[in-house]
Amino acid sequence: MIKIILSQIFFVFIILIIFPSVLVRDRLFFQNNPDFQETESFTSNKNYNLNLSLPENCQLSSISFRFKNPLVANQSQIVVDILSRNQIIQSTPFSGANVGDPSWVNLKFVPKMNSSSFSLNLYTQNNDPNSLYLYVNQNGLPVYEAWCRLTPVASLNYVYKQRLSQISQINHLYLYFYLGLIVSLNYALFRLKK
Amino acid sequence: MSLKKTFLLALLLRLFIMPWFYHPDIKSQYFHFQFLSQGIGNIYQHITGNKSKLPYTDTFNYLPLTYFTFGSYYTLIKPFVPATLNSWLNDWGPNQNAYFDFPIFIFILKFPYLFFDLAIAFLLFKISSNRSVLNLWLFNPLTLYLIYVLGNFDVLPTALTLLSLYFFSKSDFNKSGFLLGLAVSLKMYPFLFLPFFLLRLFNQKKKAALYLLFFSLPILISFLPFLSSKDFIASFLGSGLTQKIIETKISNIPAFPLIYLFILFSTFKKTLAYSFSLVGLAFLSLVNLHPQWFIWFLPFFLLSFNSKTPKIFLSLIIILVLVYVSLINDQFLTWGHLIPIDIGFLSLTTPHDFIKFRFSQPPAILQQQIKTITGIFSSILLLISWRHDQNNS
Repeated sequence: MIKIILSQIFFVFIILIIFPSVLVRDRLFFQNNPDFQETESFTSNKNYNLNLSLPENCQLSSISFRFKNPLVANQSQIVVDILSRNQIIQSTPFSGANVGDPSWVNLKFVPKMNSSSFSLNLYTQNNDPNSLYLYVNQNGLPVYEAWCRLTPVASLNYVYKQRLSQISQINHLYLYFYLGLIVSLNYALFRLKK
Repeated sequence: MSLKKTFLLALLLRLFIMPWFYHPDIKSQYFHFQFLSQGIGNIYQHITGNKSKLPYTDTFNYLPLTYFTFGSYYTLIKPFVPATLNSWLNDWGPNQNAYFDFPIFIFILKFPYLFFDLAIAFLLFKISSNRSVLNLWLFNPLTLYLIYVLGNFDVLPTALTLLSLYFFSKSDFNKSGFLLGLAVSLKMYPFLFLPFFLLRLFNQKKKAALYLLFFSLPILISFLPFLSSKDFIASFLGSGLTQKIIETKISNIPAFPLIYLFILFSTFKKTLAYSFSLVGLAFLSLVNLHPQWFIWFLPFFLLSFNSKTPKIFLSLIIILVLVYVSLINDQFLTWGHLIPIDIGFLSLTTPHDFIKFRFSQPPAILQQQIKTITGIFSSILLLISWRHDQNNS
């Protein structure tokens, strides 16, 4: 019986804590109105500058911007520069051909940038005002999302806190009903053993 | 281990799995089923008429009895479930998977499947009198995946088809016919099995006619009120199973119908489970199928195997099927299943994309190879079981 109870605890621990903390290390830490549907023409005279502050024990791993390239016709170069202390530490150029109609463009980095604050510069070589668009929010800033990679211990801590928060906010009546079912079944198994 | 303990352990295992795995099909199905609780009888017409106002616009592609069965379940439980369940069913926005009660919702919606799943286990044991068949159903990962991870209602017609086979084996043909008709009223696929039942009653014309009559009853009763609804007809014809069955062609001749006819006439002296297993094999090898369809044939595969069946082959087939499914280009057939635990799983690379981008190889080629190997292994297994049965008899 002890074996059965231990295996249940082990299963819950593995599936709810270990599994997500090991596999899902990249966490969304910044989101700037991802559903805002406003677009503005993206041309070479526009240079967007954005500031990012990372949480503790987390390294920048990816950034997504949302563009619209009607019929994927515009092939101009788009560049995202990441700056730390006014120094470009990574420059990521990509072609308009990688932009859909519309689509999120996700730029992944090797998460090795050991700084907690960054600036982003987003610009393009496009000169046609009617063929490449960028999604912007109500303040005219680009809509974007940023992820960072947690260290293994920070990831475990993050998932643990997330679980506690989930338990405190879940419908308790159903939680007790579910736990009651599991306890009853264990009791029935225990009685059978006897 | 006693039978009671086996069932208790199986139930415990299922309770642990049910809330933590998700596939969006269960939500889209219950989105439609919920309309019965609002007094809507003709779901097909309701969807066509209100398409512009609905948060989810896909048509209802299932049969009327399915709507009434699971719609009744939802109507019954509605006063007792968290109010957020209704909000979640109608929320198709970007935050639809961020509900704190998400695991509770899917636990409630999957709850009826428990009864049908355990009923199948019980029937398999009654039919085979073999504990290993029972254990294979209750504890193999494929069963758990098909019922509680994919969370599709196909387990109900599967249970009814097996019950129909059970009554047929007891020579209670009217009940068998009625139950098979009930299964067809829920999902069309058990129609594939009807000719096999009828062929075994070939020399008993009256019984065959009665079988057909009892088979037709639930279908007629559940279809008749909708036959004049053009929305129902459009949905029924657009379901795609018939189209899929004739998809694979050899020299421009549809392969599955030919092999089906061959199995029908060449195996009519064998057990029904054996014939259905062969149909299943042909179906799995020749039809471009959805993973949930595996459950249609799984009980018959298990019944066709016996103590002489090499377990290594069986385990390999189960692993291959799971690998095949994981290579389908659908986020919700891999990491997406785990979003009730953590929504971050959606950001992981799927095996399909991993193979596509790392090895520059279309995963469909690998899938076809897996399908062929699975077909070969399954044929070997059935041949071994058949030869063993021949030697015994």
